[in-house]
Amino acid sequence: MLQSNQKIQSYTYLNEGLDFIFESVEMGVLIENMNRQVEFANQVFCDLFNIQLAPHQLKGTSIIENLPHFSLQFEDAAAFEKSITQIPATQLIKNEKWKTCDGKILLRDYIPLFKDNELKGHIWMYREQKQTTTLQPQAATSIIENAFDHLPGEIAIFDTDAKIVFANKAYISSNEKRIWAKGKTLSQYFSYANLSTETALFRMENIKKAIQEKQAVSWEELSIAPTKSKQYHLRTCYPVFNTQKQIESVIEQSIDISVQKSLEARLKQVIQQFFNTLDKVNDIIIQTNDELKLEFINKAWEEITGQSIAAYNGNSIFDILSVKRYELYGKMFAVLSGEASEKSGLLTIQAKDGKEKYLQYNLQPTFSVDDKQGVLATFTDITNQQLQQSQLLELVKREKELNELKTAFVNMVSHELRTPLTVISSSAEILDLMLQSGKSHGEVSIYTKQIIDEVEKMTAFMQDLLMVSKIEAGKIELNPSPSNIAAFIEKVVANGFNPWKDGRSTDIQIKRTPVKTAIDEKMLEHALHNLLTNAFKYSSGKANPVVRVSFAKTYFTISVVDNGIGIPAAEIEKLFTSFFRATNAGNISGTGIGLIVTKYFTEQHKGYVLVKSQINKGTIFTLKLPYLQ
Amino acid sequence: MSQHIVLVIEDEPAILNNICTILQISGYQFIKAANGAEALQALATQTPQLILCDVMMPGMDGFEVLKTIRQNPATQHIPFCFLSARADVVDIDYGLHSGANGYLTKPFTAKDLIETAKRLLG
Repeated sequence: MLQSNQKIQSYTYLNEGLDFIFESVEMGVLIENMNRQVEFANQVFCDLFNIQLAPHQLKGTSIIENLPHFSLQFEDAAAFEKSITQIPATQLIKNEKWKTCDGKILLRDYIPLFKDNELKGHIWMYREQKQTTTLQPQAATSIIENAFDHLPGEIAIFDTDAKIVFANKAYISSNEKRIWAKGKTLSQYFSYANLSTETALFRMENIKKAIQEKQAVSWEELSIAPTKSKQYHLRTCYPVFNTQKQIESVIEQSIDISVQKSLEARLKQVIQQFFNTLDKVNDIIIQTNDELKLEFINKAWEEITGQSIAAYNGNSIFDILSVKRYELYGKMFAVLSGEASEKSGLLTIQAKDGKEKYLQYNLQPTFSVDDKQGVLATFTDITNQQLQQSQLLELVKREKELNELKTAFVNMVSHELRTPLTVISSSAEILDLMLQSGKSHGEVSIYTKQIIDEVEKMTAFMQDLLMVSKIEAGKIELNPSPSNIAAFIEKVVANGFNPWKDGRSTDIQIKRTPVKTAIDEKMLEHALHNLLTNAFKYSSGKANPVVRVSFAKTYFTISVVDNGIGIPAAEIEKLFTSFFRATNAGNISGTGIGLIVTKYFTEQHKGYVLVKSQINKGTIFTLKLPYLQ
Repeated sequence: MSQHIVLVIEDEPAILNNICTILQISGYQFIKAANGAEALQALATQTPQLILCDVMMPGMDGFEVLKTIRQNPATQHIPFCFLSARADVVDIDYGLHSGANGYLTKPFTAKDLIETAKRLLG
């Protein structure tokens, strides 16, 4: 039986203030003085050692006297008694294990009690060792919480009122704040911790949303780190259900996605740069999906066609190239189906301004990770090249024509000069032979006249050439004077055309009453002379050419009609080009000058030349002239 | 020496006359033809020892005349010389390759004419 403190007043109380603390701890505490009397024992001590007394009743009792009662508790009672009687005095001893008779293990701490550097007593602290094999719920929770504390991500558990049940160290790093935050809302904690309440409110909204919707809610949160760098977190609130499928709590978890976000931003930037680059390319670039719907068109489309990109986005590529282009479509399907790895061709489109554009295109399948390949089409505007090419071809053609004209001119001049020169030279030689031999070979005058005639012809030819050059320089001016047209025609015809050298003559027909008018006789004679010469030259062996004059009210016409070889219809418009000669002129000599002169002189009279011709039937040249005063 | 007969085909009357006069002075006989048709007509009845022919003539040109003459066994052996205002090397070459034995470019001298005639007459 344990002795109670009969000498209660005699002991010295060593531990003022400590008993308050020791009373509330969950350990059995016994304090003794140097006389080995109990100074203090708490309720837990009494419970552990099965002492039926109240703790204060033990005060002042002798430890040694009561020792057998204490040691009875333990399997090795002798060892326990020994450990009490032989106190190691100044040494702290922790966690000594003492196995009790009913199988429990008590852990004992010994603390020597000093006051003013003098050993004044002993403190014994006993606690029961918890069974590690059967984990208590409390312990399990602490293990999980400990584990949560070691996770890098923020984790917090909220009750259904959105109050903090637990927050790991990543969520709230300070122990003090963490303890404070328990049972508070995020808003209260953020306000306490001087953080953005806006962020807290947003998180709380999502906690409530997870509870209401009974499903996880995720969002990205941007924060600025102390290093001023942007930090992105993917935060998720998971509702936690109990066995009755009711929400018990909400776990909020965050993952740092800053690296992913920065990669994503970089990728976006690269893609944007890529598209910007594509927009600066001169070629049209179109990308379609596997259904040939437009996925991308660059700005060159607008620049080349004048049509807006926006109007087509998402539509079929056929909307863009709306005209039926079976060849292009066929190629496009061939590329799409994988039948061909590449196709190209040429296409003309009508730009918005109505101009035709030539586009050279190339079709390729797009790169695709799945099997859904589209078509990548590039269109190069080759309108300018095409234009340049046709201009070049035109120039080459013109150059060729000019060369031909030059050759024709040289040949013509050569022929026109060589023929009279042959006459002149041979006539002169005959005259010389006659002089040398003293023999006459016909009349001398025949040869002298031939020489004079040919010189005249050559002079006339030279004048014609000069005339063309003057006409082309615009140096010849009209000088009209009143004239009797009928008499004028007679005079022109009489000068070489009545008869012509082949014996044929010219018929003159005058219709209606002649009207008095002014003309430049020199010019018109020249014009008519050329027409009459042609009429005879190109109708050898046919009927006489006819000059028809007709007087109308406001104008009169002079027509020269022949029954000759005619002029090919396609060549009529070229007739008034310098040195041009119709292809059917053959060996009939001519300069290609006459008609230019005729046209020019007619136009000087404010009139114009009409041509009507049929191959092998004949030609009618008509000068339509106004009456001049 | 028996006089050689030369057929002269030329559409320009003054040139035709003068050539014939020069030939006559030099002791040749001549037949005048103002075009190809007249020439072929003359050849039907007479056989000259030499033919002088203009190239550019209305109707049948010199080449056609030559071709016709060469196709006719009665006339194909007769030496043939072109007279032409076409004096380009290409034209001369073409003329000689078409079967002519000579090519005189206008204007030619009496000396040129006679020397050519002599050469062709052998």
